[in-house]
Formats: sequence, C-alpha cells, structure tokens
Amino acid sequence: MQLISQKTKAIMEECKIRAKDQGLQFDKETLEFVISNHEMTSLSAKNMIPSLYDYWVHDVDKTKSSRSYKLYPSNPYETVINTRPAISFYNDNNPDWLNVMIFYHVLGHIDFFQNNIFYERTHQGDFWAKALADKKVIKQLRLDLGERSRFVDYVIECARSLDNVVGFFRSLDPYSGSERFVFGEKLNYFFNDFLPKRLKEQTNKTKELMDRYNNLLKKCGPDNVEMIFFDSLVGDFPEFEEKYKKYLLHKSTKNEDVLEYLLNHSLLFRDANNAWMKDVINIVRDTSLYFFPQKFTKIMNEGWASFWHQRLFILDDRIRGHEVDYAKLNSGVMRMPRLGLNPYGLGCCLFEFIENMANKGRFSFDYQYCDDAIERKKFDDKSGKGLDKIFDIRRHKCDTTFINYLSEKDYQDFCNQHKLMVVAKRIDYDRAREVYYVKSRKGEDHRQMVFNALLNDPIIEVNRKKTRKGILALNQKFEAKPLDESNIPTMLFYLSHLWGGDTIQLFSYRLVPQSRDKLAVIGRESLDEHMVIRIKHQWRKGKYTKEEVQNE
Amino acid sequence: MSKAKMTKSDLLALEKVERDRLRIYTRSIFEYFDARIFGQHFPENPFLAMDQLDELLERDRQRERDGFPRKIQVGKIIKPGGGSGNDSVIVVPHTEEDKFRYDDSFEDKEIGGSGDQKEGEVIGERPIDEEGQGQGEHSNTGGDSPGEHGIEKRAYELGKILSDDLELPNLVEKNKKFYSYKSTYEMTDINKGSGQILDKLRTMTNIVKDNIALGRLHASNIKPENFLVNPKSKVYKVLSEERIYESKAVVFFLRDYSASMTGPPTDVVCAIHMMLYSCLVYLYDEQVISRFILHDTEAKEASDFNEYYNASVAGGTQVSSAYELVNKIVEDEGLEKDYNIYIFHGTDGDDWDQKGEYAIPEIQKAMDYANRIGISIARNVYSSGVTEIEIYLAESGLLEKNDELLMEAFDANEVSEEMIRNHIRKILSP
Repeated sequence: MQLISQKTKAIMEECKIRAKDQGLQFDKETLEFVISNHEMTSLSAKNMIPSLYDYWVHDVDKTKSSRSYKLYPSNPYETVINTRPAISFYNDNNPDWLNVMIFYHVLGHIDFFQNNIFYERTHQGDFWAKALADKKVIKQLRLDLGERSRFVDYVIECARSLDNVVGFFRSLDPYSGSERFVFGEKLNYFFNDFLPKRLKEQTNKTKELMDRYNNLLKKCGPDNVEMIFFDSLVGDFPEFEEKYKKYLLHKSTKNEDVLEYLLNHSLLFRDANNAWMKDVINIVRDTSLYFFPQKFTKIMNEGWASFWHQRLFILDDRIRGHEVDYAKLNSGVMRMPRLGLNPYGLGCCLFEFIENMANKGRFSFDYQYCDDAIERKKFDDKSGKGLDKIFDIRRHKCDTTFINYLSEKDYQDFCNQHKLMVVAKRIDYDRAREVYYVKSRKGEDHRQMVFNALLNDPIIEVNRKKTRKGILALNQKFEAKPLDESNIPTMLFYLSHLWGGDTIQLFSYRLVPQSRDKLAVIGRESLDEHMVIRIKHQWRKGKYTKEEVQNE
Repeated sequence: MSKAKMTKSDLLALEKVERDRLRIYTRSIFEYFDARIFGQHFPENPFLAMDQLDELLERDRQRERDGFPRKIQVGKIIKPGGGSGNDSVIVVPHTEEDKFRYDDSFEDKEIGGSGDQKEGEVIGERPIDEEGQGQGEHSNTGGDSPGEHGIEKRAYELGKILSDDLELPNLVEKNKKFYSYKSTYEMTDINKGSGQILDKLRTMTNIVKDNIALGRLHASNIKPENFLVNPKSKVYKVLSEERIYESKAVVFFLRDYSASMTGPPTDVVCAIHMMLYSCLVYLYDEQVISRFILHDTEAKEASDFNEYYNASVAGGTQVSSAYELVNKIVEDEGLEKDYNIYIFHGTDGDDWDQKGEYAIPEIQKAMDYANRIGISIARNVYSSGVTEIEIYLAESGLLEKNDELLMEAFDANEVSEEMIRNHIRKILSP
C-alpha cells in the first residue's frame, strides 16, 4: 500500500478544481493509495478499513476472497471510504486518461459522503483513527483475558448478530433522548399524568391548583412561575420531584435499540467482571452505525458518482484520443442489464431524468396536472433549474425517498424512456428449467420491485411491557414481510448470552396465504390475501419453543 | 579529511533529536507504531494466508467445546472448463453471520430488467442448476441442530485434503442410469426450414410425400428433376442440449466392533473409513450411496455414518456374518444389476472362525459382483504377528487370483496419518 505518484496526484488535483467549478463540494484534503490485488482481497474483508478490529469472520472472508481470486481474478477500479480526509484505493497500472475518469467518479462519491444528511453523523471524526483506537481496545482486552481471550470473539459475535437492528435513524436526531427540551413538559406531566393518578376523583383540587398557577403567572410573569409554583407544591405532593425524575429517565431510555437496552439493563453487567463486554458491544454498535448509511444510499451514491464522472469527463480535454475507449468502458458500467438491477445505471439515469425535468420546469403544477400527452411532451418553461434540483436531492434523499421522488406518471415516463420492466421467473418442471418472462411494464410495479429489493433489515425493538425479571421480550414491527425463522433459535441463543437472564421472547409475524395452493406474492394489493399470524418464539434455559399467539 | 570521532555531546544531541521525533507522535492521536499496524494486514508473503484455513477450522472446533455452534463451512467454487471436464475447483471456507432478516423465499422473486418485449413474453430460460455457479456451498448447511451434521462437515474438510488423485476403481456402466444435472450438446433435434446439417433422408421423404399428394409422381416414370420442393420440407439437424445419465455406486462400509477392537484398532479403522467416506462425499457427492454395517458375531446395519462411527464395542467376532448380510442386501434389493458395488472392511484381524470356513465362501460370493473389496486390518498390540484373517485369506489364494480383493495389515499402535493416506491410496488403486 503506497500513496499514488506525484504525477498522478497532480492529475487528481486538477480534477478537483474542475469538479469544484461545477458545484461539487468536498474537503481540500484527500488521500489516494495504490494497492495490489492481494491487498485488495484482504482489505475488502474488512470493509476497506484497514484499522477495523480483528475478528475471525474477516479472516474467513479474506481466505475465501483470496482463494476465489485465483479462479475469478477481478477487482474494482476504485474504492472510496468515508473518512476525513477521504481515502480512496486504486489498482495500479491504470493509464492516465482512465485515472482522470476514475478520479471524477471518486470525487462524486466524496461529495456525496460529505454532503448527504444521512452521513451527517460520520462527519465529525476520522473513522480510520477511531477504528484504530477500537482495535487497540479489543487487542488489549484479549491480552488481559489471556487464556479466555476467545470470549472476546464470542461477545463480538453476539453483538454483531444484532448490529443490523440498531436505531440508526434516531441517532441522526441531535436532540434524541433526554436532551430534547419540550416546552412546559413538567407542567404537562403534573396536570396530565401525575395529578389524575394521585387524586383519583377529586376534581375540585385540580381546579384549585390550576387557578393557583394562573394567579402566579399573572403576578410573577412567565419566567419564574414554574419554579415558584412547584416550590409551593412541596408540602402537598412531596413525592412529585422524585416521580418526575423517574419519568424523565424512562422517557430518555424509551427509544433505546436492542443493543443499547442490553448495555443499560442487561443482568450480565451486574457482575463487575463482565464490564469489559460493554466496551466490545459499544465498539460493534458504533461501527455498525458508521456503515449504516451506506446500506440505503447504494443507488444514489453510485448513481451520483457515475453521473458526475460522465459529465465532467466529457467536458475535460484529457478525453481527446480516448473517446472510443471511454465509451466502451462507460457503457459497460452504465448498461441497464436485460436481467437484473444495475444501481450505477438506475441511479445515474434517474438523476439525469430529474435534472432534465427540472430544467424544463416540469415539477410545476401546470405540468403535473396536464393530461394531454402532446402538451406534456412539448412542455418546457426554460427555467434551467436542473442542477439546483439534483444537488438538493443529493443532500436530502436516501434510496427509498429518491426512488419515490417522481410522481406516478413521471416514473412511468422514466421506465418507458429506459425500457425498464419487471421480470419474474417460473419453473417449468417438465423440462427442469427456469423460465424468465416479462411480468409487468408498469412504472409502479417497477418501483415496488426496487422497494422490495431495498427493504432488507427488519425492525426489532424491546417490548417494555413484557420485559421484566429475567425475561427479555422483543417485538418485530410489521412491514408486510415475514421474518426468516430458520435462524431464530441461534439468534435467541446469542441474545441469552448478552442478556444474562434465562428467558428470551420474540414476537414475530408470519404471513400465511389464505388459499394454500396460491403462490404467495406480496405486494400492496395482495397483502389482503394473507393472514397475519403473530408467533411467540421463546428461549428458556437452553430450550427453544414457538407458538401462535392471539391479539398481541 | 579523516572522519571525526563522535563525542559524547554529539550522542546526547542525537538522542534529543530522536526523542523529539517520538514526541511528535505521542502528542497526536496516532502513536509512533501506528503506521506499522496499518501495514500489518498485508503479509509480505502471499502464501502465508494459505495456512490460515487450518487455523480457522481449529478455532471452529474450539467453539464446539465452548458450547457455540460451529460456523465455518467448507465449500467449493467451480469454474467450468468448457465441457471438457477440466473444471477447476477450489476449496473455500465460508461463514454466514446470523442476523435477524426477512424471509426472502416468501416472495415470488421479481427481478429488474430492460428491453422491448411485451408483458408476458418469455425472455430467456436456463436449466435448474443445483450446484450453482458461484459459491456452491456444501449441502449440509442446516444450522438448527449443530450436533447432527458434525461428522458430515468434518468428512468434507478431510475429503478436500485427500481427494486430489483418488477415484473409485473399476467404475463401469450399469443398466440403470440416474438423472444428473450435467448436460452435453449433440446434433439430435430436428428443425424444419433451417439448421446446421441437412437431414437428407427425412427431407427426401417429405419431398416425395408432397409430390405424391400433388400428383406429380408416377411409379412408372420418376423424374426427380421435376419435383416441386417446398422450403419447409427441408429438415435439418440442430444442436441441442442432452441430459447426461450416470451410473451410481453403492459402497458398503463394514466394521468389526467386537470386544477385541477396543482402543487403537477401532480408532484406526474409524479413521480409515472416515477418510474414505470423506473422499466419496467430496468426489461423488450425490453419485454414491453409502451403506454401513457393524458386526460382532452378528451383523446389523447402521442408519448413517454418525451411528456407524460412534457405535460402541460389544461381543465376539464372526466375520462371515457381515459379508452374509452384504450378500443378502445385494440380492434382496437387486443392487448388482444397477450399481457399481464396493465393500470396505475394517477389522483387527481376529475371527472366531479360525480357518475361515464360513467367511471364505461369503467373500467369494461377494467377489462375484463387487468392483472392489478392500480389507484393512489394524492388528492389536497383543496379537502375535500375523492374524487369523490374514492367514486364511492367504491360504485360500483369493488375493492372488483376484485384482478386486485387496488387503493390508499394520499394527494399530504405529499408525500415522500418512500411513492411513497411503493405505487408502492402496485400497483404491485401480
């Protein structure tokens, strides 16, 4: 692994200037490394972060990729990681013109990382260095534990099993938890929650207290009234302050994800000897949060980078003499395959389509409510706001909202323009073949298909009502998709290790077709054809049971 | 000018420079040796990574001892070599981390695509390919009950080490063929109007038929130059996909589990059969049916390798009983006609039937149909040199007369892994 040569770096710097002229925004500093194919295979196992903590699954992946590389030698042209400064890896021996194109692509990625709001949380620090610190912590733990060092791996394994159900979206909210200030919260709590419970039916008292507050408000003004009012209550309700504190604590921990909940409430950590596990779980959780936004901006991220490498490279004079090479290479990257989904192509075409629409002012009321096909085709108000629009989208959208950005008609136009369709397969049992056929050419169906492909991680939360004394209860949130039940015993086994109590319960959904012989196809329309069944999975003292439950 | 000698003050100054250099690092979040840590993921010698597989598998075994399910599967990736049979296969470890996830099989798989076709039109097809092109994981991937597949998994690991140059000897074609997922291309299908090679006979027949129907052909006066030829009468042969059917083999594993086998002989025989079984699982997978038979004075069939491998020791020894059972199974189920049959027998060489009065006839009977009988004798410590089975087999002269019958004996206490491998090579030798 070494820095790129001065000559290549000069090309990169030139690219940066031109990209900035076009409106891309990124930090001045970037680091570029040339790495060999062998290094690439071992790095990709660690998500391209060399300083990621050591874990045997990475070693397995590394062995696997380095062995399969012998059969199928192929490597990406570039890989960018979202750190500050942004770091990118390249194959060596690219010709200069190709490097120009690749650099533009990379700058597109960097611009996306540093401006999209879903990456906001990753902007604060240099993840490379943080990962290094984490790696050292884990290394130290292994040393401290000596013979039992493999238990670090078991904790990592248990924690990693839950790292896809972390509360990423809540972590984006800077005011999450107790820090959020809600106006008049104490007062609301007092009159709405505390008093009714305390007084039961004595409504006169409530009225009297309200009057007292209102009088105080008139006398003392809004700044001091709360303090004076609650001071005056100490005689009547001495327990109020304590209860309010409890309420705040409950509120702040109400939204904890499963890992956070375990960190704060696990019975395991009552034993001080187990405290080191907290560090490990925290590291796993933080690492997962860091990689999370990349999961649901794949189409946008690749589309954005491809969009810009096309646009910038064609404007660049260094393309001279390599136009054919470029066209060949680029069409390979951008090709909409006959079968399958190419995130590069789909994202890029969608950006281009939106830019074109905005250039012609087609997001206006006039166009959206125009039904005349000829009018629609001709519509152009020459406003030329295309770039503003896509920069705005680049900032505020993730894959799902991006795909959903166009109206139904517009998305149909988009599908028609690029000849997109939904393909399904059926099995011809007589001939032992899979047959692929065009299922639909409707834009909405295509959109739904992309959605389904994007919906990967289920939402699992702690069920606070049922969690008590040694029982940890989890809920699956309903998203019209059933949970894979094959690995649930293993999952509960992991959870039992982190929880410390002897019982774990998971309430999940199962979808059963109303008529058994019908092939289950789930979409918006066909959800009615399924019965939703709630299943209770239980792990109790090493024994796994599951049963149907009613009305949970 | 001669070199100036370094004075003490010079040394001190140098030290100070070095200290300052270090201090720069200690002040920042990076440490002096961080650069080395960044770099340490890239072993300079790429072959260092190769040994890692064994290390990882060892770690996996440790997991089982700690009460965690084993996680590493050994799979293979196949790169088709263009039908010539030169497929390259490599063994890769694979692991899947368990996480909560949605059930993908629930949905009718919809895929994106692009093209001009109308709704409902078929755009392509392909054979159902069980092996899969990319990562053909081995079939025992069930994770629910970790204990059950333990041996299967181990068998696979071992098979990969052994199976480089081994194959079942004397494999021949049998009556019954079995469907396999392999296929080949041959000129068997016919097509009207276009194709690769004109089928002259069929074409001529069609033309004659047409002309008879048109009344242009009279038996007394045949003039081919006057025939009317419909382009559609031309029949061509075209290249088409044909499924390959293959013969299967049945392999009988026989193990003596009498009391005398206690200790080393059992270990050795189990190890040999384990490796044999591993090779077969690895090489032939679906093509081989394995049967397991345990015997002391009586023989019984074990339902799977796990039971066969783990059955504990009992009773006296009557070798003939095992061969008798094999003969009975082969006869009752009519296996001889449809399958290649292999018998591998593991014993300590001890037999109550000292002259082989019962055993020899049974073995002879088995030799009529078996493609190979391989006998492994792991001598007990207290047995004096040559054992009973060795003696009566030598006396019967069967070993010289038949290539199919192979026997090797060795002392159970002195067996190494290398010896076992060589032994397996020997009993599988063509």
